[in-house]
Amino acid sequence: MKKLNILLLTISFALLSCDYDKGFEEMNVDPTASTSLDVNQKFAYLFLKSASDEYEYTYTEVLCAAQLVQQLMHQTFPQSSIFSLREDLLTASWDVAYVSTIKTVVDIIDQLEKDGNTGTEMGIARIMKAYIFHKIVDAYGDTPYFDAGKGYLDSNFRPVYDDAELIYMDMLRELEEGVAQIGGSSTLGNADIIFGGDTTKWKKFGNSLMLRLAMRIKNVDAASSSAWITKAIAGGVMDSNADTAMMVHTNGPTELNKNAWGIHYVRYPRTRLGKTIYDWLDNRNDPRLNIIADPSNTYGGNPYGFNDNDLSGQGIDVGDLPYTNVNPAISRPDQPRMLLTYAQTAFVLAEHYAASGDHVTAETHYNSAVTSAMNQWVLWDPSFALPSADINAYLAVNSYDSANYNELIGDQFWVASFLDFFEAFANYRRTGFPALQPFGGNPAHPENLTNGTIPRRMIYNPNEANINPENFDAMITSQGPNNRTTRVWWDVN
Amino acid sequence: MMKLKKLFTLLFFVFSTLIYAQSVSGIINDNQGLPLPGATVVNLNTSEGTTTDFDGNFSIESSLDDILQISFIGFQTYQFQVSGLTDIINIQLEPGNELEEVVVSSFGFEKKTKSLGYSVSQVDGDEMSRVKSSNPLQALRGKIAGVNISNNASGVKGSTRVVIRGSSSFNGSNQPLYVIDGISIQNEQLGTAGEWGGIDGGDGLSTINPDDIKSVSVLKGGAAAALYGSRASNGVILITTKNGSNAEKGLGVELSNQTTFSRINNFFNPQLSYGNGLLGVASTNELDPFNSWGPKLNSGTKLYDNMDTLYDTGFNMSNSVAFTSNTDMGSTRVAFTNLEATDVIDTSQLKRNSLNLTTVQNLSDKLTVNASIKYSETREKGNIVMGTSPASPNETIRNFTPEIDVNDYLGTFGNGTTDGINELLPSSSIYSTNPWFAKYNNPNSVFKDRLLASTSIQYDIKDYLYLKLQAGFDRSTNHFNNTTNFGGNLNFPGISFFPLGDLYEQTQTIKQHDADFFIGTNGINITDDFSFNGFIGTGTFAFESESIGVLGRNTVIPGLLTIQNTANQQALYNYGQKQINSVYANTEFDYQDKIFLTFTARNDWFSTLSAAGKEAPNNDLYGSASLSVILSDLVELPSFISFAKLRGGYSQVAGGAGNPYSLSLTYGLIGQGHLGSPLGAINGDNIPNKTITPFQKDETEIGFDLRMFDNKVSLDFAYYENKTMGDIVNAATSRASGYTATTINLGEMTNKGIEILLRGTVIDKEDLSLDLSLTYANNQSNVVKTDESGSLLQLAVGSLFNSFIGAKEGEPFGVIYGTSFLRDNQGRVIHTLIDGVPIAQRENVSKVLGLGVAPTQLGFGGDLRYKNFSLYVFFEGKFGGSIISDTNSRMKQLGRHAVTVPAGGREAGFTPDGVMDDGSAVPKVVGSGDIQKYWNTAARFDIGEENVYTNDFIRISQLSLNYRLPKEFLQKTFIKSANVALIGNNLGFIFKDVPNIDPESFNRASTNAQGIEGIGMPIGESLGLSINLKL
Repeated sequence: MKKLNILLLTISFALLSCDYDKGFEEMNVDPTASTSLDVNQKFAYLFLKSASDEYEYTYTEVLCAAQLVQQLMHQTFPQSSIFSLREDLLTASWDVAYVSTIKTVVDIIDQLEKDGNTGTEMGIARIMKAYIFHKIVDAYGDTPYFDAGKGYLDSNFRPVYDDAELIYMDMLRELEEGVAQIGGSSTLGNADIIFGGDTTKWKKFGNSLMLRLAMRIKNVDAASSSAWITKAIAGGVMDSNADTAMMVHTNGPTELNKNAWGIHYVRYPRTRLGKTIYDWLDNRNDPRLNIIADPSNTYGGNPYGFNDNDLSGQGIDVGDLPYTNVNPAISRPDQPRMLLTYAQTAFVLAEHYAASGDHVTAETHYNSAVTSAMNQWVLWDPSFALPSADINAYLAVNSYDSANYNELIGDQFWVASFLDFFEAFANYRRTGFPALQPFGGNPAHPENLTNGTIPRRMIYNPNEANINPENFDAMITSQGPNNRTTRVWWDVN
Repeated sequence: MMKLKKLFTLLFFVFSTLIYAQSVSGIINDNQGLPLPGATVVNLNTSEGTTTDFDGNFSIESSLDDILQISFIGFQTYQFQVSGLTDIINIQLEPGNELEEVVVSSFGFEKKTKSLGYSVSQVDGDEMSRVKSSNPLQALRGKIAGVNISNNASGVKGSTRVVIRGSSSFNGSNQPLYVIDGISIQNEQLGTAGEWGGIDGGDGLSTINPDDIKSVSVLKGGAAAALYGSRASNGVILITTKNGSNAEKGLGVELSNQTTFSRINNFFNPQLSYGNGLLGVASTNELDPFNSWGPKLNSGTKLYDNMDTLYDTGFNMSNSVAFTSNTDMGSTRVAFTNLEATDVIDTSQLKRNSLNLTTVQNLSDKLTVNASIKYSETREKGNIVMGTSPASPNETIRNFTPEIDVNDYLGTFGNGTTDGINELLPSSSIYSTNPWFAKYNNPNSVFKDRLLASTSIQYDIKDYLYLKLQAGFDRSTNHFNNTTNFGGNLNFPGISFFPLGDLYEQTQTIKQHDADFFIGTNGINITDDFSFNGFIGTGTFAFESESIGVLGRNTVIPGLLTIQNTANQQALYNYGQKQINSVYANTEFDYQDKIFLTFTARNDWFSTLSAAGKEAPNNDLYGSASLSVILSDLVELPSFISFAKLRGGYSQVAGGAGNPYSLSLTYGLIGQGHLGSPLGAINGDNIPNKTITPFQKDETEIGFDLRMFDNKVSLDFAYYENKTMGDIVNAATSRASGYTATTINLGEMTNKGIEILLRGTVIDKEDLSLDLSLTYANNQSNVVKTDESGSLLQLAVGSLFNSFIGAKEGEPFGVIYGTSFLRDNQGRVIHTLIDGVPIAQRENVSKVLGLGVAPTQLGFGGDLRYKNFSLYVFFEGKFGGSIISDTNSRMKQLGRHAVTVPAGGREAGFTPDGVMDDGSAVPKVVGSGDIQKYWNTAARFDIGEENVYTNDFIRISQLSLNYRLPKEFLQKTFIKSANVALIGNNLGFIFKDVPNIDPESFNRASTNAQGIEGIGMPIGESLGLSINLKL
């Protein structure tokens, strides 16, 4: 009995004094992941994702923005030419940006701050932050900015929606300070997949973006606009196609490496060139018609404002749309994606000088911009080089005219921004050019929800009202309802 | 000669008296007249004993006036005096009172029901194999009060969801712990459908064979499961497999076959008066066979039932053979089962072979060893894609207008293609797949190999002290192959996103082990009145899973579906490991066998809550107390009550985060770099939280168990309240934070409910008996707190983007949220004139539209026996829940729904209920064109309320008509017993509220997203034959 009692006591003691969680801390560490990462790898990912995210580019830029500016049409998604509702397409860019590029750039800036880096790399990060955010602010309006992407760093799960005006002012400041931080060389090495370590080009990129944003706010804050344009020009903007910021893509090894337009082109074969741009190029014998349009047929562009049933009713075979496609030769997955081009920069300069009365400088920049817009297609394929004689002949006919400079510059900017649909959409809203007609001048389609007008913005994911109600409601009170006719801050035209 | 005769007669008499003087023979039957094998017969005068054989026969040495005692567990012991030695004695035993009834409880210990202070329900193995389905849990539907079983609308291989006493965790699994023969088994769902579809890969329990089950115990509440710890916070389902100890002594062979045919219950009921077209005009576009807004069909037009064309008759056959050996040393059972099934879409098939070897051996009078090995191999092909995904045959089949024959889309190759490879698209939309193409070009497959091994060894150091070791493992290797076929026709790619095909191959290995060691004591008498029983133990649970896969995109050689033949490949690797270590103790005090008081305590340490530098604890201590009082032994009760027990208890249990590696933010490399630079980013969209602690769930339960009228009627009642605090959830965050969710201890949720089980033997004669049983359960849940700001948690989003399943403070758990009609202050729906048609307006704020989980469940069964026949019918009902239906929504959008055809036809029109926005009456909507505009806006994405239906129903769940071949028949054969039964499953409804679909057609039922129907396989009914032979 005694032996038994001792046995029992020993066993109980043993049971109660074991180290029950031995090894648990090590076990709970993911062997396939790391808790830190070199900032260069984050930069490379940031650059690539800023250029094209397949889902976001397809849904919002191509299926919405491109149709709004009448450069493309896609009959399977007529909501963007009839302006009925298809929420998931409109919200995609916002949804994706915050959990990919914005989160990454916030993480990079935090890491650089902790490393005490105030040099070139920090400058590049700040320029990229402005680049990423400006697309979102222009397309959606007031949006979280100062507290964005800080779910882990600050445990801020429901950030405030900041006023677009404050965001713009901060982006301009970030560009100024960021450019100032850029030195003679960068430590990014291979990770700089945009400029390959050329810091001069980074500065020009930063200043050209400053120029773009400054021009954008001309109608709401002329004084600031003018001040920032001056700063940008003084700092040095792009001056040739060699400065154009672009992402070179490759056909694999995974989908992420490919040009999103190239992926879209194969997956959505019902996409067609819009009638408006086709006619515009055709009427002027613009040499770019055979670059942008598929030269194998001359059907013409897809008309605007009809769904499949309407077209069937007109006798069109919707099974095989008789409209010209975008040229497959500029739609391959291994072709580059433009982030900000010299042509776009030069057009802004032309407009600036024209507005201030200096039409001589304006004309120089206008000619240079048109030439470069024509020439830029060699970046897609060298066979697209245009003889300068042809370009000059074109310029002789479509020459600069100080009386109509807004229309000339606006239209040319629009063509030069083909495939950069967000920028075309932003510039159209600010300038009113090209003079797009919703529904081709006919009465609005019965399913139209915008009173027959061309929408002025994309919409937020309505789920935000459930997840972030206080801030979302405050934004609506300040900016207006979450629909497509509400205007963003600078859109007062 | 005379002398010889006399001698023989004398010898004969002497001989016979000797024989008769030496033994008494008899047959022991149970109260239903069936033979009782294994009953103990003891001659109290000589102390000799024997047991009855397989037919209940016994023969024992006895003299006149000896007292024989017959006993058997579960029955009242019977004694009689031997009064004659010549006749065969026929004895029928009566069911025992609760003195003897036992159930299998925690860790496999058999406990007398009367000592338990908490609710345990036990179901016999025969019940499980009476009407078999490929998942054994289906047999329990509606039979155990408080256990809610539902399954995916994904065909025979689908997963099952079991919730006991309401969901108690927002994002946790809410499923009970499954224990088979002492070890826990992995029951994860492999693959599920999200709002865009997906494939249901079945779950772990489906590899267990119903024929092998001896009993299933359900430990419902916290007190019952307290000994199993945190993994049992939602209850425990304890399955014991047969080990031969109930078989006849010696060798036995049992053969069974069940063959059933199934077909869909076609509730789909579209209007058949109007055909293809839009706005009242016949369609000229042959690429639009889906819109039913065209002109009225002529009475002579041939109409086709396309659902009938696509869905065939399914077939399901299971064969099993079992060998048993039952000796005094122990018993063994070896069983082999083969199952083959073809679904109603006959390219979807399943084959399973399994082996179960279970044995119990008494190696000495102190040492008992139980061991079991179960191996199964499952091959599934052609798993159907769920939901609204392209590549789902279920989606478009309902959309074809009735004058169009879907056979037209078979194509010349008979498989839905134009040239053998490329899809013959029925419409201009790349999202609408040709159902034949989806059926014949769907090479998805799942292969599962699984090995379960368990053992328990008990050594009795003394007769009051024992050591017990219980250990085992569950290992499975699963291989998935998902293919989105090359369907690319470059003008109209077949499958939307990957026109050149997309292949995915993955092998996943999952291993888990349990080991528990106890030292305990049995029945020590502290005083004359008090005795004590208890154990102390330690255990560990370890889990590891690893998966390796390759994703390949863009096949190069058309039709060659292998990963090697893809242009872009990406490797995928996933690993997870976790462990829980515990120490626990159980003590029971017994006063005069009439009052029982039990205490448990347990401490769990979780690896998933451990991290360097973490201050919050990674472990928790919790316990329970329960009391059982046998009222009928303590006070005088009215005579019709033969047994009455009161019980009550309080328990606490802790639970930890189920996922490892969720405490830190990590980075990973993405893809294979770009232009020579690696790409890296933050892993995942979830914000990790280092301060997570275990959640706590408390439960209080009271109840009673009454047996009345000579044990012919029994009533079991339980009332419970449970509360979960600090639930670990993924709370959705604004995407603007950079993430979509965070893990946090935030939730607080309660459940309250009652469970009633009423059983009665209504007729009890020798040849005729009728037993009825009724279960009723009602659970009221309430979300007390979600987080600091009382946010609405989204648990799952519907495929119609205007709806989701949510948790909101003050509402029950799992409500259906969606957009609703805009109404005036009199509750009338407000309409606005758009293009001349009044259109119902929507309110932009989401509202509660119904409960995703039905709070009330009912089960009712009857068992009628007449001589050798028995008829069993079972009904199941659920009340108070709602369903949001994608099928009904699409039918309205396409003009197929009956509601789009008013009483006098579309030409006559109808007046919508409601009021115009200026207060005037709503004008009549007349004509196909305007009626189309009315429905085409309201139905689809805009207004969730339009498609939420109350979902009450009573289903005819099971039927079996059984005939037992009489013994006389079989005496000349080697067959010892034979049963033939006609069986049927899911034979229809007594009533149901929701039109066009089965009320339980959820496509994500095994997650918390209950209440959403997203176009799955129609649920089938089956009818067939079952044969069982014992040799």
